[in-house]
Amino acid sequence: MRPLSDVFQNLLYTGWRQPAYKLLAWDPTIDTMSAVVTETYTQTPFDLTPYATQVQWTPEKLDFVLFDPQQIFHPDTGSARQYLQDSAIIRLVEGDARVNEADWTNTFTGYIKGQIGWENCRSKQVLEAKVTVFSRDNSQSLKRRLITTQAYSVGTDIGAMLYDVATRYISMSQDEIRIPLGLGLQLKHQVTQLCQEAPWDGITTILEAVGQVPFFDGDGRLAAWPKSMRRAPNRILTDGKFILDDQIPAYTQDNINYIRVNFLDSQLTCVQGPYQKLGQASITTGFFTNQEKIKCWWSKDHTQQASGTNLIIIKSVNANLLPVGKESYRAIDSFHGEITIDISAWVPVLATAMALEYLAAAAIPDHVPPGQGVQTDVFSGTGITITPTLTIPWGKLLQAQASLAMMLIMMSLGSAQYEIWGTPFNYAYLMQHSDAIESTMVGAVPQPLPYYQQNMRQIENDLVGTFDQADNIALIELIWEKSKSYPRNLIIEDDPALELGDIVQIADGRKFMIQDMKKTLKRGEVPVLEIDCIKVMTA
Amino acid sequence: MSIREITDWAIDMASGQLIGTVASPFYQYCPDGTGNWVWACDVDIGQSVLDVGNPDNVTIGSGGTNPNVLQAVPVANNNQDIIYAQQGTPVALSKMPNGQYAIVGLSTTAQGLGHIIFVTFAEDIAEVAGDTMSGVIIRPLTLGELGSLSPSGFGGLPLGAQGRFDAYGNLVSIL
Repeated sequence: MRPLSDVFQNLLYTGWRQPAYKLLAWDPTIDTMSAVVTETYTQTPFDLTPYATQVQWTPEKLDFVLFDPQQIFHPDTGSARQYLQDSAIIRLVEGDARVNEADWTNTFTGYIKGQIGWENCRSKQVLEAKVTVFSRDNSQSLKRRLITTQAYSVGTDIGAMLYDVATRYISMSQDEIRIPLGLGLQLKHQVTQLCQEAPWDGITTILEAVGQVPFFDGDGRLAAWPKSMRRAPNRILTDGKFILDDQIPAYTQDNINYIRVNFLDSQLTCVQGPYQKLGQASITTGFFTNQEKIKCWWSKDHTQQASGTNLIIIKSVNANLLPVGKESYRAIDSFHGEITIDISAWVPVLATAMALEYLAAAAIPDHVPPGQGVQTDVFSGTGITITPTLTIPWGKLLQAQASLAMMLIMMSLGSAQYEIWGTPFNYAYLMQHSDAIESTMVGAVPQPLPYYQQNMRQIENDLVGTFDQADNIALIELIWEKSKSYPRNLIIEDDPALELGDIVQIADGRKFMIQDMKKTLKRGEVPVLEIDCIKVMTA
Repeated sequence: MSIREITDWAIDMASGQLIGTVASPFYQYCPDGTGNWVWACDVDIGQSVLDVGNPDNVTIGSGGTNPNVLQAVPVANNNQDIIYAQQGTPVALSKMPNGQYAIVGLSTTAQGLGHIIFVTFAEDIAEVAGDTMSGVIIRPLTLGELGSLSPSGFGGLPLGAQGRFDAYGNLVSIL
């Protein structure tokens, strides 16, 4: 609701009103919209009021006709044409003739787009300019130019995000924003950015997360109205004195009865695959080593994660003649594990000992039974000739024994094969949603509308990160949609304080939320304000 | 309903983007019957599970064909990462010009759960009459579940068997 000065407010509903208005124009080459909105402009605004007639007001658009007998607004030659050129700033100020102009209130501030219409018609004998002024949000640049914002960290209030978008990309100063800096909703995601979104869509998305709708107020400041109907009425018209007409228009459309708010969970969730073979390894090992270690990764690029991994031995190192070692497995991390084969210590020791024995045994002479001579040279016949007999090859026996032991160890050398099995997993953000659906009570059990009667509207808002936040939006939107199916029109004596989203209560206690308004200003008459409302559903 | 809303719906419908999870091993599939083979798999898009009162919900777990599973969804060409994806992996689907969905990549998002609030309206009073959760969770069965869920006791179900659970953790079916 637009704040009015106490003096104006007190006079508004007492006695005979003497409504008055002013139409002011600023040359856009001298002052910016920002300067006008924040009252820091340097020029004296041009007063269009004496020339103006047929002033038709809505929150989005202002139309009026300027009588121009001196042709000062002629777009090519007029002496005051700069005040009606493209981007010229026009403001409507409304008040009461009994009140000082300083206490009047701005009910519209906007831009002229392009060129005004101007007519010098001999047959109709008119010299007039037709002017249409648009509110600040009716700018294609706000809705078509795409932006990517900086990254906002977890815990940032979305109000800060909104201020950033408005000041950085719409060049607004903080004084041009009527929305509080803290909107009470903190970002749940670690990093949040608006990406390739129009600034106005970004602001709309931010406010949607707290159930509000942006608009530019009469001062030209960025404001927002809440869709929630759980609030006190802004204006109570208890006696019906100022209500000229109370209409209930027909509503013949299918109304939305099912709201779904889709959002990305701020927490990553583990998505598991089936238990399966993750990797395999084979190795040849034996006496020549003490220990073998094999690293196994769950994917070639080392990015796959898995849990509950374990070793499946397809062929063991102990599957040959002798058990030569111990096989074990441990998971290093979720991306890989390690197979360890420990060769028993006795294997290399025995192999070494047997090799040494084999060498040593080669130097052992054959054994001859006692009392027999030894022929030292069988070719020359020198030495003592003895009776030919058998000798015992002690060295060879020992060599054979060592050789057999070594061969046994070598025969135990073999290739082992292993597989690692486990449950692969990845992390993914879950697409969660909150639904609010119109239902009826069957006994004590709520029964949602049948599937064929459901008319759903989906809302995608990634600024929401929890079910609580999404539930809140879903409820507000469903109640608001339901209320939209109960349109109500009020025609009242003008109340300059009323704005979009305000709630008006009438004498019988019913409450209506304002969705649109229009009025025509005429000199000496209290304007008639036509209000398009929806019936307030109280939760 | 405004023109804007209707336009937004039309845009959403035309975008043809879905996410789902791989619901079968990958297999070769001959969509045109002429011997041209493509890799394909079944994908669980889980859509009807999320909707309140969707008649397809009742068939889940009753032994019939799960209508949430798109059959024989082809994989975009030369996308080895997808072919090596396993059952349960989230994937992104895109609608091709012929209207058929194809798996175009691995997804960092997956279908989650839903919180449904039942609201009743009477005159100008809206009241929250109750709430429930929707959606399913697919995960491997724990060792305890392998023993308790199999009629023949532990050993009846293979290690690694997966189950489909509702949002409250109750088993709906074994995959």
